[in-house]
Amino acid sequence: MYRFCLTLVTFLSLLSSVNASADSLRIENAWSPEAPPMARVMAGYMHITSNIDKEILIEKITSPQFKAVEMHRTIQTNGMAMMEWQLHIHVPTGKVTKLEPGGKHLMLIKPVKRLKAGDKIELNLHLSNQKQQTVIATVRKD
Amino acid sequence: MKNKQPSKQILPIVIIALVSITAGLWLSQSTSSGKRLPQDLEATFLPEGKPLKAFSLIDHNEQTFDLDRFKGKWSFLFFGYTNCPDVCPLGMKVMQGVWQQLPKALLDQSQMIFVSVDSDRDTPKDLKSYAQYFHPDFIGITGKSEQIDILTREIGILYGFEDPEAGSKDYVVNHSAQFILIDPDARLRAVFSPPHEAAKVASTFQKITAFLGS
Repeated sequence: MYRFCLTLVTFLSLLSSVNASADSLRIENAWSPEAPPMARVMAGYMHITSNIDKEILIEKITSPQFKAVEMHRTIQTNGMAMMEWQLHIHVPTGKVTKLEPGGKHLMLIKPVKRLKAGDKIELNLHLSNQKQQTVIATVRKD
Repeated sequence: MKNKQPSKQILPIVIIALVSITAGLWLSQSTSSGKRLPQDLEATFLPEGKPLKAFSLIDHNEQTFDLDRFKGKWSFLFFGYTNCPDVCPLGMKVMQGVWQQLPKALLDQSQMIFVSVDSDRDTPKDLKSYAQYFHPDFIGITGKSEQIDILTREIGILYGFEDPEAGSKDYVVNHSAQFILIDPDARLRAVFSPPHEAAKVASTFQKITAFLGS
């Protein structure tokens, strides 16, 4: 009887973790470079992998620590670095979508208070499947 | 069957051609003074330098920053604005890395200048905080757009302002992300295009200064 219960609990735990990863994104290396003291914007970067069986869009991102969060992409064109505002971030199934310096990134606008290396930033990702996922990014010096 | 002998008239022509080609290749790698250009530079190098026109901006201590401030020092310029989240901190971080790799003797005759093209929002106080966050010796400058434009036009830097969204005072500034090197005679000497690596920028800078005898 004990073995049966143990097996059942183990199975249900595994099942729940499979379900959790089946409809959520795996976010790794979420970070933000520490910015100068007077900075009114910071950047956010992360690696996003989706095992969700259909295409997911990150439609909006909010943070209690910033007035606004926007999604952008840096492109080099005609000799200039341009920030291209992104309506959403497209996360294809089975591939890693990278937000990295010099490419796609988050623009974290007007911090409530100055954030330093080691501080954590809460980012709430609003997805196209009507779900919301919270990511904690770490402020880093380098 | 006759044995074919190479013509005695062809051999001198071949020798002359080979010597000419070799001389041409050597000359293309040399300046008018005959010195060989440094190799493997991670920048566009101007062997003769381009003199700059006069301009007048202010530094983060609200002191005049003009051509005279370039005299006697090697100067790296990077153009941007402090509300830039990605390209500008990235560029300044690279310059920080460059400064960490340069020998003291070269550092003593060099300066790094962040030029804000967004003087509407970037005050001298902002620029001091911004530039010196990356290195205590870095300088921030800005000024009237017509004066900034004198400098940017001379060195090929582009920038432009996007319109803010309705009801917002926030706007994005698009800008060139090259590092510009000015020599101690206030001449444009090199342009480093992104993506930048601190080690390569530092190495190229040292090759240039060694070549020019600084």
